[in-house]
Amino acid sequence: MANRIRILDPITANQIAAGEVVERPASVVKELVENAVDAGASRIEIEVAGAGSDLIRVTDNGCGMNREDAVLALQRHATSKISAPADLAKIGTLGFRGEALPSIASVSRLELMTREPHVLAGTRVKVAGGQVEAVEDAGCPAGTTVIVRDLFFNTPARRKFLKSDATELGQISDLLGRMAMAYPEIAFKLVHLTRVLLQTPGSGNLLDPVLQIFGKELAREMIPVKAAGENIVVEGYLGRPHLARSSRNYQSFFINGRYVRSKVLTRAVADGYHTLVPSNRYPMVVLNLALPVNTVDVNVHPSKLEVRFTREGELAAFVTAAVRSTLADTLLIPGLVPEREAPPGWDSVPRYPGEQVEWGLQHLHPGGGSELREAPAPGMGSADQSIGHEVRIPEPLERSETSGETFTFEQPDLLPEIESKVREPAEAEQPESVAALAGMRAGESTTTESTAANRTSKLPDLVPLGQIELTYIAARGPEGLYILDQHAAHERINYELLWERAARSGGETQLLLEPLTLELTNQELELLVENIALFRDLGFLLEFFGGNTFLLRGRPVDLAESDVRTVIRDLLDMFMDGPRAIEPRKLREEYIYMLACKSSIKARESLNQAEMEHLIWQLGRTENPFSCPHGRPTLIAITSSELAKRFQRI
Amino acid sequence: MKILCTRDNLLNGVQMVQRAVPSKNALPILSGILLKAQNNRLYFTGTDLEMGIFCSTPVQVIEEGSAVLQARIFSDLVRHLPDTTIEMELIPGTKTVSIRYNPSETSINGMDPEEFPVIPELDDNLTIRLRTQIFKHMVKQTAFAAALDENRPIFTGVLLAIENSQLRMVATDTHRLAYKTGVIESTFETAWQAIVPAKALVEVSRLIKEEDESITLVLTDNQVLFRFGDTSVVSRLIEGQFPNYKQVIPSSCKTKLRVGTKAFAEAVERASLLAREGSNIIKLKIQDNVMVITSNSPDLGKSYEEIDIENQGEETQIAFNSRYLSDVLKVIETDEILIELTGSLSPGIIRPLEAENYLYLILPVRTN
Ligand SMILES: Nc1ncnc2c1ncn2[C@@H]1O[C@H](COP(=O)(O)OP(=O)(O)OP(=O)(O)O)[C@@H](O)[C@H]1O
Ligand SMILES: [Mg+2]
Repeated sequence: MANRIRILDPITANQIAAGEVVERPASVVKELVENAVDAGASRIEIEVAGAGSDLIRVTDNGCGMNREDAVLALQRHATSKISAPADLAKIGTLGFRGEALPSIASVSRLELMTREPHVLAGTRVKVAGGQVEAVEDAGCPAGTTVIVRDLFFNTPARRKFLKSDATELGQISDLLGRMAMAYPEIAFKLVHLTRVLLQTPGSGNLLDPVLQIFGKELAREMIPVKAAGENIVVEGYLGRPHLARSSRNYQSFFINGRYVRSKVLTRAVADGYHTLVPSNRYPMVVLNLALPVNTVDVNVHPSKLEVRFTREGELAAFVTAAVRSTLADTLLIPGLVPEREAPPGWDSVPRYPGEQVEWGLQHLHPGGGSELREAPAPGMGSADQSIGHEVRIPEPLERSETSGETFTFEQPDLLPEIESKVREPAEAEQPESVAALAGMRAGESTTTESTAANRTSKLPDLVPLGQIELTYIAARGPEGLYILDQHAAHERINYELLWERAARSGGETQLLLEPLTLELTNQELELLVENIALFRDLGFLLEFFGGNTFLLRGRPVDLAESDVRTVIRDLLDMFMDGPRAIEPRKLREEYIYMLACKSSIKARESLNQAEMEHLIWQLGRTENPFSCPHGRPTLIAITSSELAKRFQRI
Repeated sequence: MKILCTRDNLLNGVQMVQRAVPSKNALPILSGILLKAQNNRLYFTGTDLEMGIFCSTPVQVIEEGSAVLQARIFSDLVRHLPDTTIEMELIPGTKTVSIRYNPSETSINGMDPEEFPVIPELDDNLTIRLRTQIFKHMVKQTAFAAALDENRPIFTGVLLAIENSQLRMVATDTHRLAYKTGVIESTFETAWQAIVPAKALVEVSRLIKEEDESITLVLTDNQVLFRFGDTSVVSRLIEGQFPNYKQVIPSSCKTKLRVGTKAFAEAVERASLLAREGSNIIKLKIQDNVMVITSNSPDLGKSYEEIDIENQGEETQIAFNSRYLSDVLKVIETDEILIELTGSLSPGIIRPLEAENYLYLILPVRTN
């Protein structure tokens, strides 16, 4: 019998690899565009026909390749981007496997035209189904063009799995939208047949791609965020809380220019929006993060969609703080969107600004270029220095090849103005609210000076006009009519007050002469037994009595005795479905929610003028006046222009 | 019903019974005062079903009978009646009462007396009599310690108990407990106890007049009647088992100190101003010869009070809800008090100096 195990021929091997790398037209586009980005292009043009299965053409003005490299590029594991295992620990390019081009070439008819800028003659390589058909001289512009025709022509099974043209095209344009947001300094253009689907100017201003992708209306409701720490830069846009969606698809995270999905970041953002959006909704965000390359492991997911961070806790805390402080400084009233100054030329047709780059992420760092720039990968040739795309990875100040142990994230320095061109990252100037905010939730460090009464109002001047249904307060303000939910507003006030108090003391227990008995279900009992120490920290002094009974020997000083039983039961209910060991922070938070709710004005409670004024006064002095602790809005606005529209005056 | 009377006759009766008329009433009839003319007296009754107040006043009855008038309107009218002979008559065949004070007249539409709840006569067998002054004093020193919220109904009441020919009153809201004994005039052989709503006791105390020398308590299984002067108050009893107060009162202590009531009360009052909002917590540090009282409100400021004491025991410290301290200091009449403590987690005890018949126990706040 003949041997059955054989080493696969390279073409078959590539086709198998292609199964991982090239799933659909969008993955081809992704790989080609990533190569163009790695090549230092400042302009990338993508043309597709037949939703990508007929034709994909990606043209860049990057560094190009010489003839040998062009041929080599089509072989498996040929890459200019890393050369030794150690390099894997500090990948600063999007590609590193040397797999993309050969994989694509094995399942399509591929044509590569490339020319290095300083060389006159370019090269053309033609491959079909993995077989090199021609290598010849070609006249072509500096840079690289890759044309992929008849994708999956030799793997019909795969071709069958493609979805409708609309779906495939949608994926391509989503992908390019994300690339454009990751690289605002690169001009992207996506053309389908003759239609321009996406075009960004490459101005370096993230607002441009954001406008293109989200549209004018949504983009106007996005709040710019910028923060820099010693070894981290965060830049992006935060959707106003009311834009939050029930799916995570509206969150885009980029690590060093790579789109990633990250639970860590989703969670960090959720924490930043904490109490501003309901817990089952995801805020819309676009966040570009620049981190030292040796702190990010990109080699954990076949399509590089997931990454692993060293010091993930600090990263998350930094992002959370940046998000939270940005939101805290913004007027977040649904219905009220300050007219944002249009960036120059944003209405007009986006133009290609040529090679000129205003600023990109690297701009956030002093000295912008040299000290931050990773040396171009060997063999890649050096890209024209004037071309914007430097590698945007801030290196750790103390270089450490092996680990990220030496870097620290510090408190975010909010970059107050988009115009601020150069800035010392270590500068200790820090808006007061950052500290106040950072302390507020975890209750760490709120000082006497930051207490409510001393703050200035975060709300516009509102004059209450009266109650609606004894539930809402109508108020007149600078932009028109404002409507507050009296319960939600008071809940917010009490919630912050109670946090402040809890931070300072808390857990004080009024001992009882005669214990209160508490009958629990078996489930509740188990949960309580497991977490009895946490309840004690809140001030509940509980003692197991036997059977299903607990004795309450002391209650938190802030909690009315009549509420004790319901509060304990409600708290247990809240955590019934979760893990057995309750997270202390969560428990405290739920407890404070309850206290806040119990001590708040209810709906259908009549308020006099002075009470309404006082409520507004207090609300204005909270850290987050715009939503109740559960993320529902406390007030909405109907602007004068909206009123004028409704009455058909304009 | 037809009577002749004076404004004062009416005013006294109305003002007495009106205290039992509920301000927010579920049953319309309860918003009225029952008037009953009989044996040349006019009887007034007001009730909220928990408590009933009766009183009577001599008038000239021309025709016996009864009527029910809205308490609010009737009392406001009475207050403004002229000081002349007043004739009140129930217009036959109606519920309207005509009140005539020559030459004028006011007619008030009343309600059906048949609908007014009947307050049962109490059997006079089980009675206690004591001096009103003692009774009032006992109520003053205990009732405030009862609970206000209805969460555990027992604690909204004051335990009344006869033991060793003495009346005891005990009240607690589970955070503090007040205990007082008083001498009774006519004794009662068997030991007996009942829980009376604190509200009723306070009401009775308030209704007692200077000239009323003694008060009689008539007891049944579920009601108690207080009789003094021309007035009677009947109240339901609270059912249930009052906690064993003797068991919770510690018999010994490690720290025993003597302090001037006024100085202590004032220091507590000042410290409580700066206690953390919502908590009222003040801390007491007992040293050799001084007590230091501190409080701290991050928002408002802080307080440090030092007062001289005479300490016969260990040094210690303890935190209390200042309200529970100032409550008792308001009702103690001696110049000095004794405070007994055993560490920071056991109840503290306050007694008037050289007065064996009063004790106040207060549970501390456990701080971290
Ligand atoms: N548009 C381009 N311009 C210049 N050089 C390119 C371009 N595309 C590919 N190359 C070169 O070809 C090599 C192989 O590309 P390929 O995409 O197959 O692998 P990679 O990018 O190194 O890694 P990965 O498989 O992770 O994408 C690259 O390392 C690069 O040197
Ligand atoms: Mg690549």
